[in-house]
Amino acid sequence: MLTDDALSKELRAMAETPAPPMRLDIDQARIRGRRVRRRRIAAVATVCTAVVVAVAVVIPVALRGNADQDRRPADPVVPPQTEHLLVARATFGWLPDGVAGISVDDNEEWIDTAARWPGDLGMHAWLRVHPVSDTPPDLDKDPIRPLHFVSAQPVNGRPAYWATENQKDPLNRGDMHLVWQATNGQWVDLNVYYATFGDQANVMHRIAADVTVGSIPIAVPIRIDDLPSAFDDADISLTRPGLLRPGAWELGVSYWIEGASITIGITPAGTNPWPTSGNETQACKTADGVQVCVNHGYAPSPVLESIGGVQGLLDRITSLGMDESNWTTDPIN
Amino acid sequence: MGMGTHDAEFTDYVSAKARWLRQVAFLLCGDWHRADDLVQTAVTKLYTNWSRARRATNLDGYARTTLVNTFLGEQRTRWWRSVVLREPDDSIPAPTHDQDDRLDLRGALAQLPPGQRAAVVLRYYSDLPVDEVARTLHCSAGNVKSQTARGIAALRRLLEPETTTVAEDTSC
Repeated sequence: MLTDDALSKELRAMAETPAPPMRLDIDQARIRGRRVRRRRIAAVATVCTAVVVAVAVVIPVALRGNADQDRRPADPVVPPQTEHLLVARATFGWLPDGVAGISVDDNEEWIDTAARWPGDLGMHAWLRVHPVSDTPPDLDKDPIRPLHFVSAQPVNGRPAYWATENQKDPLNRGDMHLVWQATNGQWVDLNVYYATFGDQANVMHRIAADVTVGSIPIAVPIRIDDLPSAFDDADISLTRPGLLRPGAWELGVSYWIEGASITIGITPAGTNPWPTSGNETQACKTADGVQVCVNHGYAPSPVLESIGGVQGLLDRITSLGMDESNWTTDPIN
Repeated sequence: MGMGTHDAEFTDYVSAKARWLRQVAFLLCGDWHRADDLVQTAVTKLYTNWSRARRATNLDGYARTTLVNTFLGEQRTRWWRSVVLREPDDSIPAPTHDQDDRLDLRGALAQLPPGQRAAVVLRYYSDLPVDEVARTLHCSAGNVKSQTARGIAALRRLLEPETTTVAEDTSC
């Protein structure tokens, strides 16, 4: 008789049976994946620099509103402004109950706004803004199997589609993509998975109807003086509450300069220091309730050494304290 | 210019998890070469979505879900049958007598519909609770329970002398 324990044991033994050398090519995965990503980001930068906001705002602690009591114009687009360190491209309005955290993540290709619900496999919702186009964007989620667009109910009167692997299943096995065109011609992709709510199509539309499209500079709790020009094009993420450490928020600013990784990690005082990995060196300080750590690894960095290494960079960083009204959207001087 | 931070994180993660992903893939598809193809495709998808994946509180779960959905997706499209063309590989050591039972299980697993196979592997190899399997497969807990029960029943029949037909796939 094949018992549960015996089956588990046999499966583990089967997984350990002799095998040929593995043929995984990580470089090829990166090259192919990067090619996909480049296709889809080509025009985004142009669009994004053209639309930036006039007012500095701190990323809202609570992004949920009451859509019934606080209806806003359809995807309001905010006016242009100058360049900032971190700029969200879209924000949520109404969301289902139970949100555990929000984040804005600016990496080399996209700027995503995300909401997450509790649990290892808690629901996630992502907003991504695509360039102006007459047709829906090529999401390129799967480099092998493209998503198909299926007509959906309009979002605030604007054209909308479900993006799905199987046209007979608009909700895409629960990995839902509702894509609609904002009033400025950009396309917004609302991706929700691990959804726990019922009536998923209607809830997706309700979330989408309350999304604000437009560039919103995010204020941060530090200022950096005399930063060499080689420090540009950072990967930045701000998460509320902290994802890796308990705390109201955490901010990571990562630079990659000539093979060296340099990361500035900022968290409220009293949390664990920003983690190090590999051969990274680190210097930390705490001031006005804010803990700042500078990590350096992977390769020597002449430009970092020219300003005194991790300690030298740390010395150029000033805490703006825990009062978010004192934070700045333009921290680099 | 070296790798970006995301690239370095991705490379570190995949390097550390490649063997595990390959083993899961092998249990799903029953063939080491195809398992390598599955992992290659899955990690490419993982790279294209790395900015999201790295923020997952359960990155292993994200990677496993990507792998399983890659497997199930290929079962639906069968694209791999047209693109994975190679001669039989003699680099796999010949099975020993002790591995005969494993070959039986491998053959029995191969006869299960893909959804049942995935449910069995996730439940009994990955030791995932029903709810997590349901989320991985994007279906209900009840569906996972029925898939798993049918898969186990089929395996028991197939591994006993009086083999019978396998139930239809009702995967989600």
